[in-house]
Parts: sequence; C-alpha cells; structure tokens
Amino acid sequence: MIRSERGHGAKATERIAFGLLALATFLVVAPVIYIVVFILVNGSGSISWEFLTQAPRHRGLEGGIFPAIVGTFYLMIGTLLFALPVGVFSAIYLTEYARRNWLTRLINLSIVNLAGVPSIVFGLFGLGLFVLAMRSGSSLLAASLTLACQALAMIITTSREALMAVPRSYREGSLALGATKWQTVLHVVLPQAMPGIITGTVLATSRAIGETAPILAVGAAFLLPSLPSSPLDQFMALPYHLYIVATQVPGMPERTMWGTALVLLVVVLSFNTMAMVVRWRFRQRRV
Amino acid sequence: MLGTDAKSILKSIKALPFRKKVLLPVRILSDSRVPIGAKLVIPGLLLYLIMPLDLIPDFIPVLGQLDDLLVIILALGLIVRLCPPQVLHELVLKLGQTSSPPAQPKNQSGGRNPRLLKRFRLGEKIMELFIFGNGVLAIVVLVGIFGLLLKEGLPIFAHTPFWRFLFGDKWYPVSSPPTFGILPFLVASLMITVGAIIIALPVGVATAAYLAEVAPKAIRESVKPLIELLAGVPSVVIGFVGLLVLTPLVRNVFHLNTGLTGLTAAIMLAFMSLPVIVSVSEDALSMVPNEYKEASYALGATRWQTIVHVLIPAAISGITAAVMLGVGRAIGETMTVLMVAGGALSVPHSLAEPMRPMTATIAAEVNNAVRGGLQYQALFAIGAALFLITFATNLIADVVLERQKRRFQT
Repeated sequence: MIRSERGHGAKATERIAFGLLALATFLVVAPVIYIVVFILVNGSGSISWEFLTQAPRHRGLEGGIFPAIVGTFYLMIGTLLFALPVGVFSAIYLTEYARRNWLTRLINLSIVNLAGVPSIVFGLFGLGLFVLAMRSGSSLLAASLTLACQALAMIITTSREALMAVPRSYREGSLALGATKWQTVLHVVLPQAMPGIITGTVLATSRAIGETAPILAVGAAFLLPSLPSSPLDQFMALPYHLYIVATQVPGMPERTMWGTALVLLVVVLSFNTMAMVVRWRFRQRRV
Repeated sequence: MLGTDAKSILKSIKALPFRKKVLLPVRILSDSRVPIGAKLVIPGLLLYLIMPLDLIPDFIPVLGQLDDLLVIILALGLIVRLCPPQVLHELVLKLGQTSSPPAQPKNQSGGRNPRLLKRFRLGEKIMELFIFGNGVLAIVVLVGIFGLLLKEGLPIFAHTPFWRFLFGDKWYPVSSPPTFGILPFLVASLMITVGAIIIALPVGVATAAYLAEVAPKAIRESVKPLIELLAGVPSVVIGFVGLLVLTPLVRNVFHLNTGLTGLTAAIMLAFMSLPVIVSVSEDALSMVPNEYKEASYALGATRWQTIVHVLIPAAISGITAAVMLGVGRAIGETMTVLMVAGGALSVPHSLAEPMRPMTATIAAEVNNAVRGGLQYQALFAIGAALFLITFATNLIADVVLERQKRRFQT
C-alpha cells in the first residue's frame, strides 16, 4: 500500500516536472517565433519598391537601402570565394590524408578554438592585417577576407563530417580499381559528400554575412554615393546599416529600422532555408 | 614550344621521386658546365617563393599559392632551355640511378603502364602538398590572430604597466595624458556573462532533457529547427528587437531610470547562448547508453527520477562543456551588448546599472582610434585578453567533451 502511494507521488512529481521542462522549452522557442513574427509584421509595411532599389538620402532618413543589399551580396560572394576552397581542401586533408599524430590533434584544436574566437576579435584581425598591413583599406576585399576567416572553422567542420559520412568501401573500391588517392578523392569521395559540404558552406556563409562586428571594425561605410565598382572600394552592408539606423542616427523613422531588419532577416534565413532544402532533397534521393 | 630534347628531359624529371627533385637544383648549381644564366634562375625562384608579397600575395588562400605554382613551372621551362640538354640529361639520369635500383619499378607497378604511373606521381605529390598547406591553415589563422593582437597590443604596456592596465578603474583614452584601465570592462563582461549563464543553464538543460527524453517526436522535430533558426538570426537583429522590446520592459519591471543595463544584456545573451547549450547538452544526454536507463527503470524509478539521478549525472561532463561553450559565446558576443548594455565607463556595482563589456568597448572605439596610437594599442590588448579568455573556455569544453566521448565508447 505504502509503496503504491509512493509510486503515485512519484508519478505526480513526474507530471509536474515534465510540465516544467515543457515550459522551459516554450521559453526558448517562444522568443524565437516572437522575434521573427514581430519583424515580419512591423517590417512588411515599410518594404516598398523605392526602399529596396534606392540609395539612402539625408543621412539615411529618406530613401532606401539598395547599396547595403548589394554590399551584402558582394560580401557573400567574396566570403564564399575565399573560404569554400580552403575549407574543403582542409577538410579533405583531415579526413583523407592526415595521420593520427600530434599535428592533426593541433589542427583539430585550432579549428575548435577558431570557431570560438569572438567576432570583434576577427574584426581587429582584419583591421590589422587586411586593412592596414596589406593596405587594402576599408574595402570589400578586406571585409570578405575577414568574414572568410570567420566562416572557415564552420566550413571545415561541416565538410569534414560530410566527407567522413562517405563509406570506406567506396574509397577501397576506387583504390582497388587502380585509381590514385587524389583521383579517388576527386571522383568518388567528393561527389558523394557534395550536398553535405554545400549545406555547411551555405550555413556558414549566411552566418558570416549576418555578422556586424567584423565589418564594423574593418570599416563599412554608412552612406555611399555610389555602388562599389571594384573589390578595393568601400561598401555598405545590411547588418551594419541596421546597427547605425537603430542606434546612431537621432530621429530615424522606425519604419526604416524595421524595413532594414526585415530585409536582413529574410536574406539570412532564406540562405538557411536553402541549405535545409539541399540537405532534405539529397536525403530523399538517397532513400 | 620546346624541342623534343627538352620534352624528354622534362619527362625524366617528372619521373624522379620527390626527394630527388628537391636535390636537382642543388646539382644544377654545383655543376660547372651549367651556364650562369640558368643558375641564376634558381635563387630568383626561391626569392619569389619566400617573399610574402608577390603577384598574388601568399596569404590569400589558394590564389596566393597558384602564382607560386605557375612560377615554378615557368622556372623549370627556363632552366631546360638555358642548359645544354646533354648536361641536364646526365644530371637527371644520375639522380634517377641513385634513387631506384633498376629492377624495382617495373615489377612493382604490376600490370599498369609504368609511364602513366610516373606521371601520376608528380601530380599526386603536388596535390598532397597543396592539400596539406590548406590543412594547416586553421593553425596559421589562429596563430596569426593571436600574433597580430600581441604585436599591436603589447606596446601599450610600455605606457601603462600591465597590472595598472588590468586593474585600473579609469578609461580616458583621448584625454591628455590618457589613462587606460580596463577593470570596468572586465567586471562588466564578468557580471553579464555570469548573469547570462545563471539564466541560460537551467532553461537550456531543461530544454535539452525535454527534447532528448520527454518530447513526442512531432514536437522534437519542430522545436529543433527553431533552435537552429535562433542560431542563424544575426546578433544585430536580436539586439535591435531587444532594444525595442526588452529595454522598456526591464525599465518598467525593475523601476530603473534606464532600461539599458547589464541585466538587459544578460537576458539577451542568455537567449543567444541557448542554441549551443541546448544542442550540446542534448547530444550529451542522448550519448548515455541505453543500459543505464533500462537499469534505472528496472529498479522501479520513474522517467523523471531516471533523468535527474541517472542521465544528468552521466552526461555531466557534456553539460559542463555546453556551459563552457555558452560562456564563450556570451563573453564574445558584441553587437547585442553594444546596443543594450548602456555603455557606462565606471566600474559597475550591480547588474541593474548601465555598463560596457570588453567587446562593446572595442566595437565602440575601434573606428576612432588612430593606427599605432595608444588607444589603438589598448584596444588590441583588450582583444588579446578576450582571445585568451575564449581560448581557455573552448579548450576546457573540448577536453571535457573528449573525456565524455571516450567514457562511453569503451
């Protein structure tokens, strides 16, 4: 009797406890939904053709955000250009060529720590090396290189996972047919791992272009009369623009802030979604 | 372009094993029959390879090495043209003979075309070297970051002694004479991070436990992408919403003069470090072997008792790692704290005051600092301190995670 009563007590406790756990989960999820919906609702009113296609006027109080959109687009391309090949080759080295020795351990450790370096520190790095030492100035090139350094760790990690997921037997089959190691990697392993690599790269790039601190340190421009015409030109970018309009310009109409936030969110999240779709489609194909 | 002589020499150079190829330039240099023009190509090539600034700078990944490769090929062609073919042929042959006994290559290559095999070998070696170069790039970048921070930041200690820099409570970078004490920022970073973790730890672990053990599949499948989504939302967007929504809320609820306080920042950072805490803790919980759970159920424990007394203790190192990673994110986060923490320069006494953490200080002043000036150096020194702190937290997290993995694998 006593035992079963204790059992009941434990059951009741469990129900309450599980309720609390669910509540915690709700506390995590609700603000996410709130932020997205809030920006969608408030921002959609300020999106107009003019807002998307015109340059800002009167210290950003009027006009649109077109140069910032273009700048972010260029940054994305630049980041991809620098980070993707290096990241993938690095992952290939780690999965296909590296032996289990101290050097490999050191590389892995570096990747883990690179992923944890604060974004503003990447900004200082970019400022010191690319902007000043390399004399590329506060340019698209310097910002892309900085963001590429930041995206590198994530691209390596996800590419490595994708490469490791390719079954060993594929490699053995290829080698047994007389292919060299590099031929095996290029023609057998890489194609199999491609979807995973693409997913990871797109995610890493979308993170990178959402970053504000690095491009703030490298020196993004708030107002530019014209679009950048070469990689060495100054640039505007959406996250930095949002930071400026939200905090630095007095009397900024709220709709400009909302609109900028919405465009930035849509750009970043559409890349996230794209990555998910690639992953999902590939899984479908495999099954 | 090249004569048949030259072509056959190139072929035999390709056939040499890698180590002998490195030796070839030495032999060319030391042979008196080689004309001086051809000899000069080699040091020229070396100089080009060593200099960091050339056609395409070496520290630009991939492209930076591409021009070097091109120059090597060009130099090889040049040498072949400038040298008398007989001399070069002789040198190559000599090297080839000492490298491999004549019986070896044909037998070992089995049924394959030996010439084909040789051609592959050079490509393979170059590719391997190239891939290796990319592989170690993570180390290069990490060391490069720290090196640069030290190079630009250390000179500040000639102006302000180390301890006074660390524990000075006055930061007047532009007054004359300037004063650099980062204690206010250290304390602010510490307070906000501790505050954030106190909020995020229970919520994060509870969410992880719910997702790993309790939630029905449908909920789990819909919550996980949402948490991933949170990790993808740019921090400036979260800071913006916090500025508009959370700031007035904090001011009204706690009856403060301003909502731009450390507390506001701590709440935002708790929220932002949740994705990593939840996902790493959940991984740790699901890594606990099923036998543990089954044994607990067999003893009559409920699911809740099992979670509290078996699963969480078993996964504690993974959860510790999750918290360390969360701490790293919270300390390093820049934009939200820049926007909502208030930016006061004095040493804060409680979370309810406006304050300015280390990251926000760098971000706020980096564009005003003159290159090489004292303020510039001081900001890089703060950056170096940040780097060391996050490096330590990440290192601890990594070690603890490895331990947990090893524990359940054996």
